[in-house]
Amino acid sequence: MPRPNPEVCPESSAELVAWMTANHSGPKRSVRALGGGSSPVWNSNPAQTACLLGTSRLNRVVEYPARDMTITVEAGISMDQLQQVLAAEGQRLPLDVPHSDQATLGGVLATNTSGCRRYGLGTIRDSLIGVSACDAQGRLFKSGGRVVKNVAGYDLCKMLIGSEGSLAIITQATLKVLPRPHSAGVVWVPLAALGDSEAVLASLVTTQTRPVAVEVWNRTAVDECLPEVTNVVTGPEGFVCIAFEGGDREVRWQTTKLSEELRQLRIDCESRLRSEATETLWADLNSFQNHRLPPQFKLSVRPSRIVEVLVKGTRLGFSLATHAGSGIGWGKAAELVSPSDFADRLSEFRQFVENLQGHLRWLGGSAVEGNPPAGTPLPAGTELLLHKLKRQLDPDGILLPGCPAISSRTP
Amino acid sequence: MPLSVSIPSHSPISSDFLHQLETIVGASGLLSAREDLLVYECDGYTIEKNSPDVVVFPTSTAQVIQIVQLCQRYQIPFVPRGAGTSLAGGCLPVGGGVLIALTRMRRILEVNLRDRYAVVEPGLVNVHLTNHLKGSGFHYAPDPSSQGACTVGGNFATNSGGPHTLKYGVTVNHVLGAQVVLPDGSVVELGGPCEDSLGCDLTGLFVGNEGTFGICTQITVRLTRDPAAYRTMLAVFNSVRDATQAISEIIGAGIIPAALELMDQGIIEAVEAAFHFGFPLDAAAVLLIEVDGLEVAVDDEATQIRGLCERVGAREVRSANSPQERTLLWKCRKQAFGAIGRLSPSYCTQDGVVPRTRLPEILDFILETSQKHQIRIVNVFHAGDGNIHPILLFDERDTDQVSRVLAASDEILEKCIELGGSVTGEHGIGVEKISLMNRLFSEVDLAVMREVRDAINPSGLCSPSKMLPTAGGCGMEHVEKKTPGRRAAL
Ligand SMILES: Cc1cc2nc3c(=O)[nH]c(=O)nc-3n(C[C@H](O)[C@H](O)[C@@H](O)COP(=O)(O)OP(=O)(O)OC[C@H]3O[C@@H](n4cnc5c(N)ncnc54)[C@H](O)[C@@H]3O)c2cc1C
Ligand SMILES: Cc1cc2nc3c(=O)[nH]c(=O)nc-3n(C[C@H](O)[C@H](O)[C@H](O)COP(=O)(O)OP(=O)(O)OC[C@H]3O[C@@H](n4cnc5c(N)ncnc54)[C@H](O)[C@@H]3O)c2cc1C
Repeated sequence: MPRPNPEVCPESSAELVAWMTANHSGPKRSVRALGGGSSPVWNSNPAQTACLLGTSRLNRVVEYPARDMTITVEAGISMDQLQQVLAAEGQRLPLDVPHSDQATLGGVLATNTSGCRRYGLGTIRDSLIGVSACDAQGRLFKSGGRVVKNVAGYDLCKMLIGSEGSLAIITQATLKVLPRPHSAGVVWVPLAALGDSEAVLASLVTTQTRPVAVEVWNRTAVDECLPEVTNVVTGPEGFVCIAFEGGDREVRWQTTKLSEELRQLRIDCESRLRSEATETLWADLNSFQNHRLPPQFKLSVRPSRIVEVLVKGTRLGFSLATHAGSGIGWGKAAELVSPSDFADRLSEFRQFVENLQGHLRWLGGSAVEGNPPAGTPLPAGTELLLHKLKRQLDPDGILLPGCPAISSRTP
Repeated sequence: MPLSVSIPSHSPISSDFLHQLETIVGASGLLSAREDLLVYECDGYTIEKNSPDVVVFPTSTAQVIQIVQLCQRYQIPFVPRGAGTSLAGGCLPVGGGVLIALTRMRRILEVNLRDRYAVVEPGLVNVHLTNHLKGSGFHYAPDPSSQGACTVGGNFATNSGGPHTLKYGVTVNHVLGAQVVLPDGSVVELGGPCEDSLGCDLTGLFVGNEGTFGICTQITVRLTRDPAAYRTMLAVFNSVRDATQAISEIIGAGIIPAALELMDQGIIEAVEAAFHFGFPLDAAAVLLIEVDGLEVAVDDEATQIRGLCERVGAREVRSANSPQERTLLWKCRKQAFGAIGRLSPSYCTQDGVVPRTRLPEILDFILETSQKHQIRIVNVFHAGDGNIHPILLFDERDTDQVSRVLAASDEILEKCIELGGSVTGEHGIGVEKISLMNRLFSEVDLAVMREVRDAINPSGLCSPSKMLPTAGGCGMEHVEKKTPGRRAAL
């Protein structure tokens, strides 16, 4: 993916603050934070007028008291670098991030990025315990701290999660981390018909096992990720994949148990164990987001509605990979379609998702010329609240978000 | 100790205002007689007291909206209250006004196991949700020790923790969404049963707001699968230092038990007198350790933990042999506070946090502080999280003791900050710890927090004088001069 170039790339948070302060008292240029530039949003927004402020040189480990199982790092650290530091101590941040060699912690926080294991391991909000950020006026502020439990003051960590750089530029974060598990295992259910996945998903309500990931992909999504993806067991319409991790015995017991449970429901499945190279399994399951042609949209519905969404989306010609256990889906146009045809299909799909009280968010992508299609708007009350926050923290509207979701103008 | 200086001055409550309130909630939904209000002049933090002018008990979101709008029209401050178990004075009606008690909004509106969530009203008692879910294979994970009394709304507003939050996370990790009547009387729906929400994590921002962002009227919580198996152990130590060393070893070895709680000798004595569990009265400390998960996994973890405890000198590691024994052990732990009444007429619980490997240091410091101020301090706390709860025992009638308690508390919390920790892990800032906020945060940090509050609560009428010190102030403006203890401690 072509990476946008930063115009300014501060060496330290002090330098970043100085630049932001000078900008605020001087030209008041629009500023947009640039982490690793790996988000698909950059694709649909080629004409950048804002000053891109790169964080890639803010990549130091500030403090890593491994025995406390917390780490403080600068926000421009890449996810791979962060995971390597943790791995040296047998620890990890439990999060799946695409293009993790490029993607930065700041970018992950700003977009609330997560992947397949969020089903069992949660999202970045569950790991973030402290944050420092610089607002548009050049004020460096912090929230939270370096201990795993802390309720002093408002939790501005949460406010910055998903804020896409519209409220402040994240400069540093403290995370609580977990021990690395030894093994992983999967149970694949090849699908003759997508609709068959519902029985599998529903059975998980009472399963004796505790999966960390529950994925359903349609066939076109699988085919697009081949041949890079090596371990997939698919049926004519796609697969369900239920994944476990933990100690060897724990994982083995669970893959066997779940297979038994499914066979009792007359569902055919195949289980695989991995005690080493578990990372390739997760890489396979994250390959749709990681693809060189990134997904164009992301959707969220209640987990119980995801199969309907898959069936509908497949019929409309989208390739879809879903974190079905969490009701989250990623999609793109499966075949080459004209921009107007694409827009029609996407709007029909979005309507469908919204009728299920879910939402669809356009991220970006190359298939569309001109104005990017609209995603589900923010609920009115939320939007108003965000505007009020924006007006307080960035009254001049200097910080530009990745999309027009939050701006300082009155809705 | 009544307050005489109330900083937020407001127009006196008129009979017209009262009459309109009564029209909203009905005569049975309102208390305004002096003697009825006494119960509401403080919460679990009893050192500062002030009576509200009126308490209302709405039964619906619509009523809450009308109450808030009325307060805005008359410029009367209002404070939400759940069960009033806050230990930081979060419910203290500083400056009087209307106390909005949510205890009559306590329905479970929806339970959806397939989508792993429940929607509840804020006045629902925490344990009632868990009881309601019994047998379903799911539970609501946050389990504050006060769960038999405190409300889910109070938990939401303070981001409560509990023994099992070591493994499962605190309240915010289990809140998917909320309906909130904002301080201007409008309603906002944050998040919801869809796991991803658009825009930034406002639900997360609202958790832990200590009642300053409006009145939460519905909460969507995540439900967690019950663990298939437990192993509950009691490790007995001859010194507190050995016990804290064991905690460091366990966490350092990369094991996250479901719960890891410490009780020292003082607490053991009180708990044993109350529940006759058979705790060794001569032990300096015990660790209550629970691992949970799959049957195939728990034994390995339990064995590993047992080994680590023995290595640092545990004199004995017992296992709970039956579900009844486990229940009794947890009852002892969770009702430890209640048993303290046997030790002293009054007590003050602190809620500091240190990095988990610094526990030995902070416990040594607590001991020294206790000796220095001649105040007995006992400890029962969430050790695995580094979240200490030193309980300072005193007699409220003795002003000298009160001032020593306050001085000792502040010294302990200062030490927590020095060790890289925080002054509150779960109880909140309330009014109690406002003066410590500028020790933890810079003026800029506080200014940004104030701006966030101003965005949501611009009139400041909702829970005034809580959590954030006024700009440039020391945070104790609401404390009456004749509370010498509090002053002396500053
Ligand atoms: C709304 C949205 C949701 C997404 N959700 C997911 C997901 O759930 N799973 C997934 O796999 N991928 C997701 N993505 C893709 C995601 O952007 C990348 O995976 C992310 O990790 C990129 O990191 P990066 O450092 O390359 O960020 P970039 O591509 O550089 O930036 C992405 C966005 O974050 C902002 N940003 C970057 N750094 C900072 C900082 N330090 N402070 C403030 N703002 C900053 C940028 O201004 C930009 O708006 C999402 C993208 C968007 C726009
Ligand atoms: C014996 C004992 C043991 C305890 N153990 C623990 C523990 O293990 N972990 C822990 O975290 N805490 C513990 N606490 C503290 C306390 O129980 C928690 O803070 C609890 O969440 C408070 O709930 P409540 O319903 O009593 O709220 P209240 O005390 O009534 O209120 C607490 C705060 O929340 C606000 N509030 C209440 N309801 C709402 C609402 N609906 N909308 C907006 N704001 C609201 C109030 O204004 C106040 O600021 C303990 C307290 C006691 C007395």
